[in-house]
Amino acid sequence: MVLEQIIFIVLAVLATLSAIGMISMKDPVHSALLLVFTFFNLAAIYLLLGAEFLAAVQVLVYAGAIVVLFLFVMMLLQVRPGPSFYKLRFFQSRIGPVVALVFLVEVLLVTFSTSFALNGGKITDSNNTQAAQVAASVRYSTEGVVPTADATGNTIGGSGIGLHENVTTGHSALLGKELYSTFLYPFEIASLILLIAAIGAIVIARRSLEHDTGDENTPTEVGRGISLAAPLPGSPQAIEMERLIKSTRNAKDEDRRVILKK
Amino acid sequence: MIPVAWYLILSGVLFSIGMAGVLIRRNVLVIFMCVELMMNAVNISLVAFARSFKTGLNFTGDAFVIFVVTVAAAEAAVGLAIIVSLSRQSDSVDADQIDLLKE
Repeated sequence: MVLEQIIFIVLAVLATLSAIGMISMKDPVHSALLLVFTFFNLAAIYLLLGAEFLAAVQVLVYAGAIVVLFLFVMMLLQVRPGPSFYKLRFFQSRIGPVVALVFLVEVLLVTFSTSFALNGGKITDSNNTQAAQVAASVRYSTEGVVPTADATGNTIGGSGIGLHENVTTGHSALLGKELYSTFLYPFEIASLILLIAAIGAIVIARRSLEHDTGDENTPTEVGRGISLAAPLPGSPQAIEMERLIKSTRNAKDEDRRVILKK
Repeated sequence: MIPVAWYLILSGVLFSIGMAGVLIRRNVLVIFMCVELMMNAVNISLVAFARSFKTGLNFTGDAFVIFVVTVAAAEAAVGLAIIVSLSRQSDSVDADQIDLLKE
């Protein structure tokens, strides 16, 4: 138990220090890398909480997907390092930390003044007749018994995995069961949110077509710059293409190929 | 056995750091990262609460974390797309220089 607490303290201190480093780094790339380190520490804290699936999601989605997306955008934009911490305006550099500190004090006050105080790790709320221990590292797997064979005889693990009845299952199976039963509709809506976000991101970040027709695709000579993609109607490429097509309408196939190849 | 207050303290500290980052930094990308950090802090406290109020098996907090992660991913995608198209127009990711609506 003491070992668990020591591990937690080490992880929490590392996460806090790297988070502080994240907001004080000049270069956004360094900030992103420190953010990855914070996320890994938080994943380990999820493991301490007994939430293995969330730890995996933390590593995969946050450290693997979101931060990589950040890094790709930085690579595309070639972000220059911003003004340092101390060259900012007065309000930003002085008042900002003060506001955050006031918020932190509020949170700590609420934490220590309510029933979550550090009194032996018990919930002192008298209404809670369960008197459940505030066991952050709860051993639910000993009681989280999920019958792996339901009435139809289908086993969760399929055949050959070695699951038998009343086997204790881990966090992932229980959370999956919860997501597909209690939270089915929110789950579907979440998938819809992801779809909308993907489409929206494409629509927003797409280079608009009017900007693009100008520079590099303009043919410098007649017959150059013809691409197989359909050019915009009215653009020089389209006019050129129409002229070529008209002139080759009566020609033989070989001639047409030669002309188009030019 | 780790008391739930420890998790809450860690959550509050990380949330405050993220909040300070949003207030201090002017780079839009770093502001986004700080928002992600704040969401993570809230996730930690959600799971800690789910473990502490354990009446039987309670996975509501964990499921909520899944949804928060989903929304964070969607938000990151859309926000970064906005940043990309914004930087094409103004060639800057400085939040102080993006003031088109001011005039």
